[in-house]
Amino acid sequence: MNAALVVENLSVVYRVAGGSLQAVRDVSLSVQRKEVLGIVGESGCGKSTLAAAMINLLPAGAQIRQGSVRLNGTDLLQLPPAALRSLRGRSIAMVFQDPMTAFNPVLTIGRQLADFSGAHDPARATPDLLAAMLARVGIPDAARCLQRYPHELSGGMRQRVAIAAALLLQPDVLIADEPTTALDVTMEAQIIHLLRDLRTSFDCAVVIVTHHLGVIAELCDRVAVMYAGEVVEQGAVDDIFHAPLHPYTRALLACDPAVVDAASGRLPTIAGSVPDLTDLPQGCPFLPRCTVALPACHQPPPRVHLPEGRSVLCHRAGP
Amino acid sequence: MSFATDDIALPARRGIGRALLGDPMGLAGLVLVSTFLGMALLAPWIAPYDPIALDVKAKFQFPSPAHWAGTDHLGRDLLSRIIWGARLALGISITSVGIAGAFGLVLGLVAGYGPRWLDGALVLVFDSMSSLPMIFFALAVITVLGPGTATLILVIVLVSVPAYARLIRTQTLSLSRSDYILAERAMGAGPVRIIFHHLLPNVVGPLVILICMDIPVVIMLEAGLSYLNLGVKPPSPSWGNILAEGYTSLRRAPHIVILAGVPLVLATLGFTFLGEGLRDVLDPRGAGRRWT
Amino acid sequence: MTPVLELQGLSVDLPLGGFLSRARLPILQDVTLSVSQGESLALVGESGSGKTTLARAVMGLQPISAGEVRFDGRPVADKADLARLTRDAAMMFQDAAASLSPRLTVGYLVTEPFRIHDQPLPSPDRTARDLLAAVGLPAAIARRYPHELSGGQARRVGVARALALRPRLVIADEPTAGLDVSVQAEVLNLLADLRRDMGLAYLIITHNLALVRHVADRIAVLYLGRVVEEGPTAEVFAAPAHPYTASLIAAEPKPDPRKRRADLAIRGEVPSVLRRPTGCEFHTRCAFARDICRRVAPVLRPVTRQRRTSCHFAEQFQQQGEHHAMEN
Repeated sequence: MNAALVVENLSVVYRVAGGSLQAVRDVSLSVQRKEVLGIVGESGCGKSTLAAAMINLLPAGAQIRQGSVRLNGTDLLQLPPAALRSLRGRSIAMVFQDPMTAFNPVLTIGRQLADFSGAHDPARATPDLLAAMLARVGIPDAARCLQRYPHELSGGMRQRVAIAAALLLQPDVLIADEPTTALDVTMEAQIIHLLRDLRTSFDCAVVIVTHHLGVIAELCDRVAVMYAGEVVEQGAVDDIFHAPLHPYTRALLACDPAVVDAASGRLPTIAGSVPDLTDLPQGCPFLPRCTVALPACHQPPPRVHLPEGRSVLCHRAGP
Repeated sequence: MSFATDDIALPARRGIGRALLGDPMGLAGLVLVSTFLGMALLAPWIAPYDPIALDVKAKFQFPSPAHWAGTDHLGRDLLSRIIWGARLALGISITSVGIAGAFGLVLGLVAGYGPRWLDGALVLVFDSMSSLPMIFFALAVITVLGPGTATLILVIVLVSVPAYARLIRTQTLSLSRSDYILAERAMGAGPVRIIFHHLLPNVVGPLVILICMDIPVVIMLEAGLSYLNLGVKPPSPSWGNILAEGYTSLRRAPHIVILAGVPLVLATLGFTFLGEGLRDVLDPRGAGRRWT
Repeated sequence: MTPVLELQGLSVDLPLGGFLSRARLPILQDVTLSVSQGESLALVGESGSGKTTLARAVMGLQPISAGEVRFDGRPVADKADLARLTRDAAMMFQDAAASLSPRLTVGYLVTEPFRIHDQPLPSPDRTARDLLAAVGLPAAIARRYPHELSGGQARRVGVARALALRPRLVIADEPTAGLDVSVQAEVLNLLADLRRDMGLAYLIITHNLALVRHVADRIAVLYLGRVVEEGPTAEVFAAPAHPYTASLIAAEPKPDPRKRRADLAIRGEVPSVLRRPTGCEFHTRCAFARDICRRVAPVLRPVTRQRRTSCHFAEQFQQQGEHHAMEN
């Protein structure tokens, strides 16, 4: 199978006072067309940085230490800015947590969609095509929506418009960073359904970055679990949720209030806190919080590759 | 898009002084302002001559070891006059913007957090005051009260208060809708506690910056009005007076205007730089988070 | 059990704005609820349902247009009553970090309730340390400023401050919003411990149903400012009597890829309060709506001894639901 997007050995650091913060460390993953990859982890695990690196849109102060991001074979990290701009939107598109920030408040939705798609392909900027696209993402009365300003739409509608904008030029890869976090549950469910439908009808690869395990379970085919800048485990969604191998994955799944059924019982927690990314230990970063640690865990953990694209970064998973 | 920093505890904020020293512009401002403040405070001890003592025989002297900056048309020592001038310029400007700042702060807080009718009344007053053209307003007040240091201070206070009060009012209005003010009200905090404990410390930063940026304007205004003989009365060694008197003998002794102009320019730059530096440093959420 | 907090026919409306316009927009309509000593009531609804407005109205931050708030059996009528309420009831804000005054240290902030209500505070440092310890924070946090706290720490400071004067009631607006799952679990455990140890009553405002299951004895569902269903949490989750409650429960993403929903439980979004639907206000999104729902507004009525709902067809709907539940 040919992957649409391949990330290989990617490391990203931030310059901070007194050193460098290792936000993404040696991450390798790939997404196929028609596949939804979920990247899950807690705040500060580097998932948003990874998403930004995938479209080469890193904030100032970030620096790529090593690795590549290949979109249909082209390394995005090596492209000159002009070539990158023409790829963004057309081949790879992004949806943010708060779509309000992605729109210009003084222009109508129609005008912005037309500007955006017209810049790449004027033939696709006609009102009819734009309205058809809005209808396709479930916006009622799409023609009138084109006349509206961003602030006149609800959060859920704005997120739909943002998705429509991202899909206008039929990208090969769609990256969504916390696309449902700002929404109510009812709207969240609708956006999840929309994204699920779209990846089949648009033949594109989707990457979802979220901290919400429910969203991952509902939407994704494969999952990469991140901890302290590393992908500690990846594999098929069913395997990850029903047979987690990494102790962190297990702990994370166990403490989700939505999993624990017993009412008013105490919820399991993960003792300790996330390690300091400016001063990482030599061994496994999860060691201080791990309940099943071995003496070997003071050494860097091996990446153990298992069948069906599954991999675990843990001494315990070794042969 | 930003890298999520939620659960990374941040290092403690550096002190304002230390942060200012790390910023080249702030540092330059701090050095210049301290120099002028030093000159102003120590004028009686560091000025080599009496600034108003005449020595007509020694008039229009160029800089020399005896008179480092030369003398003016009445033979007064120019360096001494400039040093004493700093005392006048800074004295007037700091006093006036200080008084204006205090009034502006209180009026702005009251307008922003007080009852709606009071806000309406105060805004009307501020707006009508600032709709008067500043120069004509200043001239009118000087005509009525006569020129002099006190009049000058009064004019500057009257002109600055509405601007300061409006800045504070806007800040107060937006903060009074913030979560933490709501939280204080939910705990039962009264208006006095909210205004003095929770609003004042958060609105005063921008005011300090504005005041700092205003001091050069006031120094210029003082110099300008004194130049027109509407400010500080001669023979007081105001920078404006020195310039005005030097201008009459520009051809014969050009050094007077040049040397009296330099401190004016440097003081203006100093306060502006300091204001800019403070703006970078005082933003409570700015420091220490630059890499996000 | 004596109710700590009672709301009777509480209504709140906001001026619609516009020059000389007297029009007012109803945000909360005729809400009657009560929270007993040691009990935890969850208030659930989408954004725009008025749940935050309700919390603010209780704490005196929002003028009430009709109805009354009773605290400890006495109506909150004047300033003295409100002072008593703000002393004996505390509110935790959704954005914990933003609810802390930015220029003051944590040590000052957690002891501020003592200063506001002129309570004896012989040793502020020790009190601050004890309060922080009660929520599992080290004493060193007392010297920090709010922006130097992590999300979980700010939340705990908010809890510590809410507990300072040993309140009888805590109103928590989205107590786990914006927290990671592991931190969420810690905060929920903390709230449960405090309730056990101090006999606190909670009014928890949230749209997170997983949270409701864990911390609430009873649940009240709000739609467009009205209570549409109320009852014991376990019973409501087992067999919701209102289609809106049922669709909220169904919409919650389940963290199990084997239990994916093929169909959508609810479509569309909350109608604007400017254009309230006629009849039952939920009929525009209800899959079971019939003719009567479009014409006649249902009243909130008891369905069992402990449950109330405002659906015309609550009994049929509930049976159908139980039927479905058995099938699954």
